[in-house]
Amino acid sequence: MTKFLETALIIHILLGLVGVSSVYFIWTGFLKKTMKLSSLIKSGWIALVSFVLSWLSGGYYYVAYYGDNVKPVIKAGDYPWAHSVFTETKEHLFLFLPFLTLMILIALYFYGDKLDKNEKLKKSLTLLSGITFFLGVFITLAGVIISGANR
Amino acid sequence: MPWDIIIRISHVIGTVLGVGGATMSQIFIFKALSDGKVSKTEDQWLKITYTVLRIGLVILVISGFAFLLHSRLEGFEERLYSARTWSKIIMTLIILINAVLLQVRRIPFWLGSSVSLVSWYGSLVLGVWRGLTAGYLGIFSVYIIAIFVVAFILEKIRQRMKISKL
Repeated sequence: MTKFLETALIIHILLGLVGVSSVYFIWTGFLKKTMKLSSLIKSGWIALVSFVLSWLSGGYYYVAYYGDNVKPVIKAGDYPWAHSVFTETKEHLFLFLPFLTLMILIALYFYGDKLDKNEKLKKSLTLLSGITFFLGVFITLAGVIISGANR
Repeated sequence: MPWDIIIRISHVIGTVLGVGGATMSQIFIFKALSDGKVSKTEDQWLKITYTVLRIGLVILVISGFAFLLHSRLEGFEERLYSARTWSKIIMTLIILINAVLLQVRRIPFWLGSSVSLVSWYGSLVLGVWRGLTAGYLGIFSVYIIAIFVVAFILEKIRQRMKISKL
């Protein structure tokens, strides 16, 4: 693997983690009695930018390296399901993350100051950020399973 | 300094801050509630401790994944499938979910405190015990027993300090 691809993989993982952590911060922020809107918006931006950059670097790694070098090794190894189940699921699910985060961010911009009075919307956003967090965790752990099967 | 040493040092620092933060927060909660009310100073100390704990958690998670990435790049992929690694990942997830459940009061305080402490100490023990051969069943059997043992000990401390039910 070239240094550039290694860097792409490192960026993909680290920014993915930053994104998931930021979404967790947003989720727990919604659960607090008094939430700080500016911190939630800041975290929303960090999550969105991290997910998009993680998308791009992961996508580059997938197209330039994974398909020809990792996928055949996994499929011929002891854990072919790591690709057929986890990579296949991950490569579709991870498309959702930036859009879900964008939805949270838009809601915060337009309705953020009304959330304390609008309990229904606050609950929906809490649920949405929780779902985004768990999707992010699943995708992260799927990455560990896929990487571990490359032998 | 080689990367694996930097990652290991960061991982140890994250664990130390997290385990220390979880322990101190439990001590501060008991101390603060021993007179029936939480003063402003006690509240500030608790907030500081939670901040330290959160910083520890972030360092732990990032260095943990850096360690997994290092294993992948250096050709030690088998480490990514070990019961020790996955047990640590699961315990870290439990810490995160437990914090949310405590915040929304969907878990009794006695259980939440015990889950937090045992998960942090569990991660510490699994990190240190490099030659451990136990599988998931062994690790999580001990983990569940430890949760109830620690909950019992915390309850005895609470009674001794004459703190009303939390």
